[in-house]
Amino acid sequence: MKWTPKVRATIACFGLVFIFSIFSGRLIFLQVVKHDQYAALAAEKHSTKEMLYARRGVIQDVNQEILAQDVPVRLAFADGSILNDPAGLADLFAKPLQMDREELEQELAGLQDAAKQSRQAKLPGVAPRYPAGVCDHALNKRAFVSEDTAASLLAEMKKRSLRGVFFKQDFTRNYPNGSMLCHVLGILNHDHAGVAGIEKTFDAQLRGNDGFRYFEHDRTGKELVAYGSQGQPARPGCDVRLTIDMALQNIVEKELEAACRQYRPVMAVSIIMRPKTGEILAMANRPAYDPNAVANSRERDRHNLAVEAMVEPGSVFKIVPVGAAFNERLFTPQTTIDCGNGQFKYAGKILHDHKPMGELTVEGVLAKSSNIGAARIGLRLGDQMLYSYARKFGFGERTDVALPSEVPGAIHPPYTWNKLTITRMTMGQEVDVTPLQMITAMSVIANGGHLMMPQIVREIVDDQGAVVKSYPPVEIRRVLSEAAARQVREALKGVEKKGGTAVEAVVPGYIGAGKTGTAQRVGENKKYLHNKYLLSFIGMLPADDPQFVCLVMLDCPEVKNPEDNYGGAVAAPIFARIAAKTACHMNLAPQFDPMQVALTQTRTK
Amino acid sequence: MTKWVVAAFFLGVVGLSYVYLKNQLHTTGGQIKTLEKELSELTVENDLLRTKISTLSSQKVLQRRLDQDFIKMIPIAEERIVRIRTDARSEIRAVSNEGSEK
Repeated sequence: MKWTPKVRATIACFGLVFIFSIFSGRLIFLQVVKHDQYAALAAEKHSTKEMLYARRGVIQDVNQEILAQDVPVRLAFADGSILNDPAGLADLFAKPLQMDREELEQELAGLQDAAKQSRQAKLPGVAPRYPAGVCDHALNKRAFVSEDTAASLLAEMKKRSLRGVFFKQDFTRNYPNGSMLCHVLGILNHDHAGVAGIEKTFDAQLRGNDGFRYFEHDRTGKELVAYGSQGQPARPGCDVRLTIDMALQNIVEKELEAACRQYRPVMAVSIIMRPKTGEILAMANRPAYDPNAVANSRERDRHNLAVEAMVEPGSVFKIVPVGAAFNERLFTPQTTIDCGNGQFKYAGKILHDHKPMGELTVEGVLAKSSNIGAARIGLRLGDQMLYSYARKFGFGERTDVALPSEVPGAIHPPYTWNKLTITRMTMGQEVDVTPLQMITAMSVIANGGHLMMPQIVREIVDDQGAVVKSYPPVEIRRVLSEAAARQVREALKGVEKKGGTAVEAVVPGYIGAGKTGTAQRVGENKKYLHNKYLLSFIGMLPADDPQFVCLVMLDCPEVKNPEDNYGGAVAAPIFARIAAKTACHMNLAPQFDPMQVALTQTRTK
Repeated sequence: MTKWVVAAFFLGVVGLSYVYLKNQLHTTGGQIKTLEKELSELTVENDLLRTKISTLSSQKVLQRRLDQDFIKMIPIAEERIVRIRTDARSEIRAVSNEGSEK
């Protein structure tokens, strides 16, 4: 073969074709065969997934006053791949993040080392894969900083040429009323999930759905908006509207606070309920805590005693045997009962009244709170019927109110009773109930014999204001006939009249009804203590058409005069003050002019 | 020759337009990002102000201000309240309506 110019040109052409074919083959290999692998690597290097946190729903009262809401704050994160001075950053951030300076420096240095090792171990030409959390490591999830603080810290970083710490948007929960209604509202944990109260019960509805977006960024980390982004927007949580009226809650809290200052009880509970619907209008407990500063509170202060405390109700329970007796037509309000001048021997034991009483009508038994009278009514009813009515009134089962940790109380079936149980249960011993069960049972009397389910949530609304779910009143069962309930109500009016156990429960201008409770507390030796009482009063106003029922309960109050250590002297006046203000707030027209009554009494004298 | 000049000019214009439009795309993207950031900051500011409003108008703060006499309020005395029966409301008519009926 002659090396003519034509041959040389042909060989050169083939050579070029061969070389370019290799290049083309390599390109096809990279672009087609290895497409997925390199596309993933590129995406990893240039794409970022950003979480879009959903705003948690608001909790409101019945008038849409905000009780719990999310507040935007900044959360500090560290990026180990660009950290330049762990010591300098620790100096700047230790205090605002509430962290130990040395610990923070070690943490930052650890992130920096992890990033360095990843960079050294990387494949040539391939971006380093950082261990999880190295580029977005949350420094202290508990330490939020405000928008202003974050801005000033970033400015200071720039001034000191520091880099590697950045802030992400997050939310913290704010309770504008502080400790008011704390047990009902509940609290969140560090993952922003409800762990108590309404926050827990309605966590799924309040939580919302977090969103996300993927976006491309250049090598400096700046977002390339032109390439667009993909993702899903965050969906805010629904708002929960309660049946609580904060004006009434404020009244109750104020009176309970004053009572706690005066009597220093171990615990105190007050509830206001609308008997016709079972709506809870106010619910307060002591001790209380500030949900904005949970860390400063004791664990035992966080229990909602209204649904978690099991107590012996004392004489308040007498409405059960009396109601049952009227309903079964075994007694009329005027039937007389021999109260044995304060002593009644039964099953080898003597039952006492707080003072000697002779013959009393059934109305009188309630008005004067005779234990012997109630025991005789119980004996006439019999074990089975008394137990059956106690269960019908809702004792021994959860009320199913939308509050977590509710206890059912304890009421033992008749086959476990001893001979004395029937005489003890009628005066509220040997039975454990919750304050909410007590007020719900009294609401049966106020509501013509109907047992309503206690409601604390009125409706759930979405972020556009549309009602997602509403909670209408639920009647559980009819316990008493209309007539029997009216008879009990009439009898309970006597409690507030002269000679009754709670004359101090009278609200000027109104005719009310109610029942005192003075329950002896049980000591560690399982015996009743003679100086420790659980004092309570549950009343309703106006007695003829009750618009609200109010419970006041104080456990072991410190009373100066031992003779005043009973429900009528301690709990009843508190009830009277709450009821007077509640009647005013609810615009209940007075049934008579108290001034005219006072004038008439003066003239008569 | 003219054809080639026109074609080259056309291609040049197309190329420059491409570069210009791509530049505009990035500039607009940057502006969108700035506006989004501004919007986000305004939303945050709005949320903070809303929190402040709800805190300042909460029962707790209002009660404190009332106790401090910052807000002067006294309860209305019962004798100054005129109550209208619910069933009597239908009997009440505004005076202006009397004239308009004629």
